[in-house]
Order: sequence, then C-alpha cells, then structure tokens
Amino acid sequence: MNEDFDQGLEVLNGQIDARVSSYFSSCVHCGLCAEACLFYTETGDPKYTPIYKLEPMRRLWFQRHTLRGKVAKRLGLSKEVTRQDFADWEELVYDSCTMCGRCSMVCPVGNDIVYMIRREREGFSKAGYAPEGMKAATHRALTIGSPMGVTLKTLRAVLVHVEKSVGRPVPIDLKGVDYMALFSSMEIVNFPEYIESLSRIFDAAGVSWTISSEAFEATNSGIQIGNREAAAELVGRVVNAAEKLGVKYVISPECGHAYMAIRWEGPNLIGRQYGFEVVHILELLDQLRSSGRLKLKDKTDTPLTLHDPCQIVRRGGVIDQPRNLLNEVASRFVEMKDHGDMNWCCGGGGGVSANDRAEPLRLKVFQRKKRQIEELGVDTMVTMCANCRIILEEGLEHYEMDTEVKMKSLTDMLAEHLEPSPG
Amino acid sequence: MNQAAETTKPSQEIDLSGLTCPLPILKTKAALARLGSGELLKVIITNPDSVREFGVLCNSPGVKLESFQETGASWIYQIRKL
Repeated sequence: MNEDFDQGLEVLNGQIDARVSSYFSSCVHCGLCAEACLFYTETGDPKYTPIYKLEPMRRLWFQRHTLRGKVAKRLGLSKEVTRQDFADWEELVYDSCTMCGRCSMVCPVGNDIVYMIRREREGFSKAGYAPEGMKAATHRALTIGSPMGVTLKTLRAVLVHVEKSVGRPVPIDLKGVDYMALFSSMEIVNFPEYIESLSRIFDAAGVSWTISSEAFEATNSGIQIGNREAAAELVGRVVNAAEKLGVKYVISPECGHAYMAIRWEGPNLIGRQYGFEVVHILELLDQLRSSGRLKLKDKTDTPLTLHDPCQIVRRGGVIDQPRNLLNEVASRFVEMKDHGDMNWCCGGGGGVSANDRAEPLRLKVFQRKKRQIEELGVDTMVTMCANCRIILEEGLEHYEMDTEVKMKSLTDMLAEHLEPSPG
Repeated sequence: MNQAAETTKPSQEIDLSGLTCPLPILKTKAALARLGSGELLKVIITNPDSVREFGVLCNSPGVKLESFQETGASWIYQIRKL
C-alpha cells in the first residue's frame, strides 16, 4: 500500500502540467464554484466546494512547483500530502463530483476545474484510493469488454429480439458503410429499444450502418476512474474496429461520458487523429432532419421537458440539436429553469452511478432535479443519456413524487413519430 | 425581515464598468460582505462574461436578486443581503 501511495503521489505530481499550474495560480478564492456545485448547494457543506476537492493536488503543486511552496515545505509551514489525505479526499474526488462541469462554467478566471478533477483522479486511482465499484467496472471493461460484463453473446441475444421486432437483420461487421454505431452496456441490457429505434430510423432515412462485433461498447471506465492507460486501451479498441471496417463516422450513443471519451479525449489518449469522424446520435439525427431524410409525423400534446446530460450538452456542445428534434414531435415542450449549458446534473455522472457508497449522497442531491421537475408540473421527461435516465428513474422512485413522471429516450421518441419510408 | 429589508433604496452603489473577470464578482462579494442584513446593493457591470457568474451569485444563499436590468452595454443588478 505504501508503494502504491508513493506511485500515486508521483502520478499526481506528473498530472500538474502548465495548464493545471496556471489554474491553481490564478484561483482568486471567490468561492463561486461552490454555488455552482450540486453537492454544495444541496448539502450546504463547504467541503464540497469544487476547488477544495483539489486540495491534495493544490498542495502538491504549491510544494513542488512554486518557490514559495518549496521554501514553506522546508520550513515545515506546508503540510505534506499523506496517505490519510488521500483517504480523506477519496469521497470528495469520486463520490461528490460527477464531473458535470458547472463549476468550470462560472469560474471568473476561467479555470476548468473538471479538467483538474479528472487529473487528480489519475493519482488517486494509481494509489488505490478509488471506489470499489469503479475499480471493478474498469476491470470488467478491460477483460470482458464492458463495465457491466456485457459480451458479444449478450448483444447477439438482444439483436435477435430487435430483428424480430423490426423485421430485418441488424447489420454486423459490414465493411465500407458510412456509420458504425456504438452502444452503452446500459442500453443493451436496460434499454434495448434504443437499438430498435436506431434500426428503424436508419432504415427509413436510408443510412448505411453497422455494428462491429469487435467494439460495440461506447463507455469508458478508464476516463471515469482516472486511468489513462485503461482509457486509451478502450478508445483504441473502437478506433481499430472502425478503421478496420473503413467507416466514415462512428456514432456515439445516448451516453454522456462515452461522447466525451470518444469525441474529445480519445485522440489525445491514443496520440493521433482518427481515420473517421465521431458524431453524437442526436447530431446525426438533426442533420438527417434538416436535410429532409428524417421525416417525422404527428406531435404529442403531453407536457414534457428535457433533461440535458452534462457531457453531451455542457461539455459536448450538443445543445440545439435535441431541441430542434424535440420540437418536431412535441407541442408542449417546456424548458427547465436552468437548462442547456447551465443545466443541473442528475447526480450520477462521472462514475458516481457505479459507486454504491455514494448512493445516499446522490439521492440527497437529486432534490435539485426533483424541484426543477415539480416547478414545471410535467409528467414526462425526455433525455439522451441512458445513465441519466436510470439515475432519474431511481430518484423519482425514491422520492415518490405526487405526479408520476415518465422518462423517455429522445431517440426512442423520434422512432415513435417516424414517417414510414415510401418503399 | 427587518426594516432595512423593506427599503428599495440601495445602501451602496458600485459602478464596475470596464472591469473584467474576476474583478466584478470579487468586488461585488466584498461589497456584500460589508453590508448589513436586509441592505440593498446596486451593481453596474459592462463585462458580458460576468453575466453568467452574476446569475450564480444572485441565486446563492444569503442574497436575493431584487431587480435586473439590461441597458445597452451594461447590466444593472440590485442585490439584497439577507
């Protein structure tokens, strides 16, 4: 354990690059990041102030990267980072941060606090101070290919039902098609109707696509736990499969962090550009809509709202597309008070949903989302992240709200309003 | 709520025109810290990047946004300390 801690400390130190150093040196201690953080606003506990979650890394930066800190350490004026600090901060680094990025949006000096949390997790994970659930999920992702243990056999079993329902085979390992679709394990296990929806929409819009039997899993546990090698390995599998099939695009599914991993972090992780482009499913569907290939009919008059998944909307920039699409199929779509790039997280992002220990805290902070929904009085909430959907369903069930609120996938909803192709 | 809380006349006005991040937020927080409970602070800013930060500040516990006005290139906030 001592050895692990020493290695973890060195890894943490190695994460302190020019960007992290400039962030720490420019922090003006205004405390505004606290007001933006779900965990602080819902608990009122100052230990959940985002910049405070970075205290071990900040102290290391001070002692090893600044002259004042080096002197202070020699004089015994700055406390060394210890194993106890890692143990004390593990909850703050993993349980109380969904890496939603709201704090980064309001920092008046432009510090990307999430970037630093992500970096800090690298050191904590190396030292062994990470939640057991996340460690196990990462292990399964690397050894089995899915954080939930989903295998190709499982996927094929699901596809049998999908094919029966849509009446045609789902393409697997087709070379030279335009798109390769990825799924999250949650979609395969909990929401296989997403695959069915995709199949129906692509057929109607004339999209050539395939699933790869070698890489169908979109999620990346390495990103969440903070294990760069694991993250690179998981991205590499997708890249190799896509390039082997010669597709032009890889479709990131209704999953928040998967999009961040494959779209934004991936090329840096593997150290090169891809031989294809990455699109989020809703970016593609909105392109198909605007080009007239995706034809939708009828609008539901059910009052509904949209929950913005942080990694897709705030960190990913897919803001207008879901709204364009939802307005095509819903006549009574209302926005939450804080929406778009200032949405409030469901509370389960950044690996928190894979961390059993964090459940009581996660349910406590869910009260923010509960209030947001109650203010609108809608009975349906649409989203485009399977993880958000499960967390929201659990939260709604936990609080036994007066009005039953149904959760829906936006892609599924579009498939329900699909105008059949003439052929 | 005490008598001071009822007043609509700001106890203090700070013109932060021309200042950029992080100064508008820092000066506003410092001014609020000096105010008594129930007193009103009027703040004028011209930095568009600070508007999002003021949105968060005005929603935080201990303060209440009484009024907000956008006038051309400036934003005027009246914030009451609770």
